[in-house]
Amino acid sequence: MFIRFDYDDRRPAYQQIADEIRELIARGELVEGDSLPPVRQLAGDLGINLNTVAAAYRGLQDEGLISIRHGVGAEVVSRKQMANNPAALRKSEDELRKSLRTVLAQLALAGMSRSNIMNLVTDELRGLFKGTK
Amino acid sequence: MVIIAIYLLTMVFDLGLLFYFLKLPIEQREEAFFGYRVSSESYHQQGRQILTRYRYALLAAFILVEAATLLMFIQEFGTGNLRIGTITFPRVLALLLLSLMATILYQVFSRQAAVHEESGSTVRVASSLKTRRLGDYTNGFYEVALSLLLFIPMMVLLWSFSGLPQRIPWLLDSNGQVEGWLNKDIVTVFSLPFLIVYAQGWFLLLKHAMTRATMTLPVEHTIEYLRHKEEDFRLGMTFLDRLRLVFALPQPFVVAIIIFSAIERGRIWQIGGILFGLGLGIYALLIFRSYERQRAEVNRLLKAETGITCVQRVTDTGHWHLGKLCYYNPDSSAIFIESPVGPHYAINLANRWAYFHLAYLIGLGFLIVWILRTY
Repeated sequence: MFIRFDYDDRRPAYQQIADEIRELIARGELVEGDSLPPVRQLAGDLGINLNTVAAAYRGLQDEGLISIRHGVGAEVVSRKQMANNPAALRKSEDELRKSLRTVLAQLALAGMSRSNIMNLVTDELRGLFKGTK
Repeated sequence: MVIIAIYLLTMVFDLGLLFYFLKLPIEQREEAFFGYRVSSESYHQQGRQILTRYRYALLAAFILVEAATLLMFIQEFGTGNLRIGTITFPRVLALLLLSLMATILYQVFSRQAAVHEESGSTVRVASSLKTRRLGDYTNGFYEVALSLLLFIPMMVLLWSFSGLPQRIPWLLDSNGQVEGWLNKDIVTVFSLPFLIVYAQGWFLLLKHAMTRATMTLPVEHTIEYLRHKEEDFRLGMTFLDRLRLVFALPQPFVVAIIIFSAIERGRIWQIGGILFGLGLGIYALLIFRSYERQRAEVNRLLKAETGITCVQRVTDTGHWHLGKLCYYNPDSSAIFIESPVGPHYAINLANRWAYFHLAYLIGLGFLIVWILRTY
């Protein structure tokens, strides 16, 4: 299992890392109880500041996806944590729907047909849920 | 005879250092020529010229240092006042001088190679979620055996200490006459066994820091790259453990020589010690050769399957110094960073723990010099 990082990516560095971990949890590759590498290790391997990794971990903790315990490190709580919090889920769904709409609009503006966009989304979904039970 | 043997032995260290620096710029060929990724064309044309000039300069520096040291040795030899201590300082100085000159030359020529660098630093990297732990590379039985090998002889020496004479014959010449004496005091008698334990401490420190070294992965062929790198890492750890054995095995012999020399001018122990030392030297060379061969094979497979042997991050460009022998990055928390040259790891001089490692190593050097001057 790996975390990928692109120095040329437009997203902030902490968001890239958080997105990667979020995706691993969504795919079911990281499950409840799995440990995440120490902040120092990840920062060293990716060649970024350790505060950046710490910010990513804090963001994931705020979302309820991981828990950080002093002296123990970060570990995955549950990928269905959001489902236990309907208010947070609704708020999150609204935000995600906006993001999805933006991406779909960009694909349409790039000249992709409706069927091509559908195929692309289906492929991504298949990849995302491949590892989940 | 013993002093001539020590002189020749220290020359072996100098020769080893010379060969190390001769090979250093081309270990990874065009992928890390003096630490820089260059095109195949530059490597075979301008690179060849740079390498030739570098090697001639290095050989000239080596001859200069060795000639100066040999003159010192001949001068001392003429006076007939030879002890181990009298040749220690100039020989250690020669080794330090040679290291300094070789590093400076490497730096000068790496600047010439840098002109031909082609952009190849990667902008996309990956990191494994697995954390390396020292325990995964430690064999409990082996550690207990090594500890017994180190500390039981020391306890025996402590137990025998009160029975030792005030002056202990330490070196015998070819006629069986005492050439060197050891004064009976706790510091002198225990200095050599302590040095052996101290050296073990350095190896353990190194192993611990190695498990925390960076492991940047490429985004293509990540699994294959990680598999070969892990094998390379495990080979390195096994090699360090075998070296620890090489450094620990003399402990019972050193103690036996001190005790038996004091009791009966233990000539047989001294001859045995010399033979044992030779055997140990051959064993050390064999394990080094075996490690180099295995590592070369792993690197060959790594290169064949992934196309690279080291991930050079684009963000690191300004952090490398001395032709990628040194690394300085205050933002990085790692002590050891993977490097495309040399022993594949460089020390991050911006990390304060790096100075603890260096101080420990310098302490080892000082201890060796101090002991050789005392004996």
